[in-house]
Amino acid sequence: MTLGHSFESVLEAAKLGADWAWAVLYGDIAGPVTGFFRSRGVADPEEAAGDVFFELARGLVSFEGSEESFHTFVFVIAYKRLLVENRYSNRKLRTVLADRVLDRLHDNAAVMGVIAEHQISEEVRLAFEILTPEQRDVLSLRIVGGLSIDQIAEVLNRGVKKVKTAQRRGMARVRSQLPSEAVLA
Amino acid sequence: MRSEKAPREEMWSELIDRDLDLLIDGKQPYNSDLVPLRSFVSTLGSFGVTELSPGFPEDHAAEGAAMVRAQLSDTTVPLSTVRRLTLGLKRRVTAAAVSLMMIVGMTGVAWAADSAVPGDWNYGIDRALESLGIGAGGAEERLQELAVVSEDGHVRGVRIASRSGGDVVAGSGDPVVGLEKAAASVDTPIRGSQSATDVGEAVSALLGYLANPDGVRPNISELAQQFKQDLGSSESNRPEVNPGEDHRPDHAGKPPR
Repeated sequence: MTLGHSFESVLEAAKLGADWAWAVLYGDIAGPVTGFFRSRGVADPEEAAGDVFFELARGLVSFEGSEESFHTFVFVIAYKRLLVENRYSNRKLRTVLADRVLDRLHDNAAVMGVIAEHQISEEVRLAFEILTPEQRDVLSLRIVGGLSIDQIAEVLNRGVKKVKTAQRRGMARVRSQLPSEAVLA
Repeated sequence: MRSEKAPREEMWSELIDRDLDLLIDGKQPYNSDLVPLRSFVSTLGSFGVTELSPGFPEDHAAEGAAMVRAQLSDTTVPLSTVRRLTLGLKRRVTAAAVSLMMIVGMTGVAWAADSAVPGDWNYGIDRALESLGIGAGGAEERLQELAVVSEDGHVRGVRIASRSGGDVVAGSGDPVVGLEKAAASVDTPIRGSQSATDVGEAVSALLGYLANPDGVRPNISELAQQFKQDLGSSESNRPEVNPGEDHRPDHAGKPPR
């Protein structure tokens, strides 16, 4: 997820509207951004990533900074998009479930299938269930997004110390759920 | 009772952040107790490298590039001379039209207010405009107003006009005192009488005083004398006015109360 020395020239070309530059930039960030949404259980991660790209295209002309700053910039947009998603997702899921359950009460499997569509992988889901929302944010941005502690602090608008604490406690919680035999492995 | 997991959590709370960074970066942590977390980090990290739909980033990349080009064309392409002149002309015409509407509107209000008499909704505007030098104003207009309201049997208006007459000639000495006395003389018979004749007499007395050329300007005197004569000739035709009631007939431009 780094372009290194070529980032500056790619950015300049992207600001001038060069297709190839945008392809390079999106190729670099599309995976982490989409994965971030997927790890957070967003119903349509690619659609959410598309929204981020749209906002990025609107704001890139005025962007100045390093590649690290660019990634932070991208995830600031992504995190705002996630907040919007979270605000409506519960209501959306409930609406979908209510409609389907009313229509197909006799088919329990179908209802369970609808629920499964809105779930992330079982392993991550179980691990995330025991975390606080802040710890989920930090671990997703850190592990999926590939951001540093400082970058996450900027994205979440929190202090570095708080982010470090959230990461440490989040990992400790996940670790506490793993079988003790694993410690000896 | 604390669970057996609690000491482990405490131990992890003291874990060095460097070890976590190593783990997340896919390297070997110093603390072996972190090793079981590798599978979690690996699984979670795989979300960031999962395959995307065919053409997903490429389509958005083309769209993003097109958006930037559109932004650049909007901000950097200079307007043609003709378009600039057209826009300038449109702005000037719009400004002129707005100014004209304001002037016409204000003139209309001023014109309507200038003919207002005490008791009318726009009488306050009339006085305000006069204070700014707009409209005739002065003792002459006050007397004209007095004539209108007294002819209408407008008791309250007579009082207002009588009082405001003093303001108009303020600083002129005797006329001020005279107007104040006249106002008092108008008030007294209105309270105690049963007919509009009393109102007319009081106003007549007031105008009689104002008719003195030594106190006010000659044209006012003429107006007052004329009005006094008219008032005397039509006195018998006035409608009755009950004390304490406002019996004025509908006056032009005057809303019902």
